[in-house]
Amino acid sequence: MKDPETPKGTLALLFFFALLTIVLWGTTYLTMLSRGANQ
Amino acid sequence: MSEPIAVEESNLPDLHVDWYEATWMRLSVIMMVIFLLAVIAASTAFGIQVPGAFRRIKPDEVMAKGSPFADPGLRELAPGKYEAYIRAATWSFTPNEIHVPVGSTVTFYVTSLDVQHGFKIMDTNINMMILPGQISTLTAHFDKPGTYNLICHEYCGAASPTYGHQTMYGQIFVEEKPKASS
Repeated sequence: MKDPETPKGTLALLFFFALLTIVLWGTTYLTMLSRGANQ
Repeated sequence: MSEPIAVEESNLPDLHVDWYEATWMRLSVIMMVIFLLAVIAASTAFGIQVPGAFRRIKPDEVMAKGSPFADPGLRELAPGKYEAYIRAATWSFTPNEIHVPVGSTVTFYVTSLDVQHGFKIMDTNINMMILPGQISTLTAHFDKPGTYNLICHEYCGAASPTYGHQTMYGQIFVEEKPKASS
């Protein structure tokens, strides 16, 4: 029996989601750092 | 001499993990580790902290003689270093205007007379929950001149559509001139 092919569309969505998470998280993090210490 | 240990065959099914799935799981773990390290670096190397309870105060003693909140406002501790005692109550901050020179470091001490309030200074990392019975504190450094809006961002009720939580705000004026008052 032939193995099912890896779903390329799902992979693309997953990597887009990972990229979006990294970009949004990184932007927020850099904004927080630019505002300086608050301790 | 001990008997050799008999190895029994496992009844567990052979769990095949696809290469893509394994890669995705590894990537997720790596991202979480990087995010965690970045948060640790922010809190230790860059001094960004979450607000802490400075100490407790009974709400009915906030206005008592000798309480710093009975006469709230800005106090200069040293040139460029201030502390601001601010009282939150439905639906205002007292004082609601603070003037400091650019380059100042201000430590905010805030408490509530009645219900839960919020204390957020826009464009800074100052973001605190203000609870009755507790003094919340954070320190900010104002390097850029301008007007910083200060808002209550914890819903605290409303008397009317034009007066309530939505009108509870203040302003911090960071001025070029070396003059401070509240």
